[in-house]
Amino acid sequence: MYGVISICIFVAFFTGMLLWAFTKKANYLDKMGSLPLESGEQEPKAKSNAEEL
Amino acid sequence: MNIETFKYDNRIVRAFAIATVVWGIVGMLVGLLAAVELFFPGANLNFQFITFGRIRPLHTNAVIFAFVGNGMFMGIYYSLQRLCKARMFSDFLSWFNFWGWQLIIVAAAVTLPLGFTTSKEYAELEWPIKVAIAVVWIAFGVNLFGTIIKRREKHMYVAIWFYIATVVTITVLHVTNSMTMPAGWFKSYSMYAGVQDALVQWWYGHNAVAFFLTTPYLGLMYYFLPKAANRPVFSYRLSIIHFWALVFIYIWAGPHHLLYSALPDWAQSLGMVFSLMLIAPSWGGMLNGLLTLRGAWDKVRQDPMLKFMVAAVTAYGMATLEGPLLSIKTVNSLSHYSDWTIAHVHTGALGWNGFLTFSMLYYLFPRLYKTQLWSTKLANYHFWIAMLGMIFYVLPIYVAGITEGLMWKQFNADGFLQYPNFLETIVHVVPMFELRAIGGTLYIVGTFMMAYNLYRTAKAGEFEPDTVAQAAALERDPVVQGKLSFHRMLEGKPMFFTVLAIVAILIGGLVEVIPMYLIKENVPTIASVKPYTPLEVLGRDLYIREGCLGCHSQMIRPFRSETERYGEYSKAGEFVYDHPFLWGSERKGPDLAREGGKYPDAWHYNHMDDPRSTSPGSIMPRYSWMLTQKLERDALPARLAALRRVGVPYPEGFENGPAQKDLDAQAAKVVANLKLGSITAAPDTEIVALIAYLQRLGTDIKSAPAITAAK
Repeated sequence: MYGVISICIFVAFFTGMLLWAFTKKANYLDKMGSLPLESGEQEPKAKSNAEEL
Repeated sequence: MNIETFKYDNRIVRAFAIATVVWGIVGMLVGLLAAVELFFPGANLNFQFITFGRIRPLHTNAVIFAFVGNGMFMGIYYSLQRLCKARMFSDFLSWFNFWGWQLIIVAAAVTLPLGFTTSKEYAELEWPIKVAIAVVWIAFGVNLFGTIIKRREKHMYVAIWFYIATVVTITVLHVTNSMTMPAGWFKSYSMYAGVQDALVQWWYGHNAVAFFLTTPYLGLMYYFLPKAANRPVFSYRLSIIHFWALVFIYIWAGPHHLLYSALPDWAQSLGMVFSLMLIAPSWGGMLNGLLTLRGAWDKVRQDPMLKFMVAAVTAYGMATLEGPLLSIKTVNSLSHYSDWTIAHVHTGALGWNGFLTFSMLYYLFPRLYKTQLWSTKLANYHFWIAMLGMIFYVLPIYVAGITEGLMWKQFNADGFLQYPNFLETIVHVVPMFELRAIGGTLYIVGTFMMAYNLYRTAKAGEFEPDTVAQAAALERDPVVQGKLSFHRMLEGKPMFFTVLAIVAILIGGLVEVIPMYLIKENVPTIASVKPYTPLEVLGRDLYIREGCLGCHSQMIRPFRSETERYGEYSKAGEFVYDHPFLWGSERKGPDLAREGGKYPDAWHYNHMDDPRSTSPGSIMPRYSWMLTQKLERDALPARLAALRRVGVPYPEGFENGPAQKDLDAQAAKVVANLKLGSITAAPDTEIVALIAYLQRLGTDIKSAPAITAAK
């Protein structure tokens, strides 16, 4: 009984979450993914003395 | 569109960055000392404040809460402002968070060596400091939510989700596990007893790893990795799944720390199954991180920051595969109590947390100081020396752990234990302990190199206290009935999102913890198990003060290899008066659950004075101060009263007179026993109480076997 309730909670949660994630539109996901790139400081140029190790 | 100009606060980021470097070095050096003490027990110079038992919690607390904690704040204070396009909600709260946290660390660094400890792993700090942690943590939470609410970016990037989960879950864990009954300013007893205390502690302990060492750092990975690679995360959809799956599953996995213990079997099975499921979201997250670098691998060859990031994410993958494997009961029967666990956590700590912190530091310093990194070459050397250090650390300890596990279980052809003397098994792996210290030293050398590099970078550049930025004010979505999608509503309303995250983390916790309290069968009582005597209570407190459980477990698992070595396996009902439980998680010495009556009192006296006098080759430190230090008798009334308040059935008024008489009588008996061994001991010394406690261990069911009044 106890195990059955646990597995039901588990399956319901994951089914809901996966359905939800897969209904997201591609352009929305692209926009979200690029959020960190929109702000913050410029990347400093690579140092000339950088050596491959 | 209304464009607003505002400033990001860089001062607070710099403060946390310096703190993480300084405390990181301190925490690692303490770890190195602890490592040396394991093969050179005299390394504490017979100085009680730096014995292994006292500095092990100092090392773990320093690395987790001081090094990683400050690193987490550094990364969050930097990325949150930029992701929200807003300055932190309150500068006062930012600095309250900073100074409050540093004071807590200093308080830990003072109290743990003094022996003020609750003994619960990663929650050792005594109750006034726990209260301070709660206050500072809530201040951080208010600041975080305040910033999210006043943000100028409509969407909440996935990193922020991880930060929110961290704040709320750590609050729940810390408060639940810190329920203690004070018995003075620096002493308290857990509200929970025995099995329940163990379950709550490892629900906390496991999820402290999950929500302090993992979720915030995953959030930071999702911010800093795309920034460094200059491309968006491989799959944002995967990151959504990663988040919800991780926060939902992680919270269930705590009981995998208690496999084959007296914890009920159903809870152990839940812990094991959910741990195995964790592989999926963890590896989803790791692959999402690594695949973000697709097409940018050429950068990894040159950029030390990316090197550290890739190694960190890989270490995360290794540790999160190994963790579930160690949670399989069969594997755990070999690995538990051995050094395998130590190797596992160091893959996570040195690799995942350490490397990601170094990576963020190399990213942030040039930007905060508007210059280039002083030496990319030195940073690359740091990477390789740290990598070598990590390998030299974990490999010997894996060998040591597996060797210990196998030797403990080995029987000879006649069916007797091959290595009946525990000492043989530890002496055998001492060379591995020595190699481990070399690995740790290399890692620390690398950290010093980084500190110097960052210092020179700061000297060469000019610090920018505030970064000016511009963004459009956030226009709230006009609420059109039925048009706002669930997801938009969710991320538009951080508080609603937070409630959902809390529900996700609470389900697992409640399902496991509540039945342990409500269903009596889970802890069958044993009629012959009685509360500790006053002298034993004080002896037990000394056992806690000295951190004995850092090396000695009190939980015999139901294996023949253990019952042959130690005696009858441990039952849940034996621990009903144990506030806190002292099962331990590691064996550098034998289990003590059935220690009572094994040796005469005089043996214990000599052994505590100099373990090598009774056990040649022992790696245990001397505890000679216990032979002369006076017992804290004055504390007894407050301690017995506190224990009664948490449910130990001492009669009302017992502590005010009868207890002292009882204590004197028992102390006189111990002194008389010592006389038989030609030892003259004063009855009011600590050693007398400790011997009384050790001689009590496991004797309740020895005297009356199998009286299990199970209901």
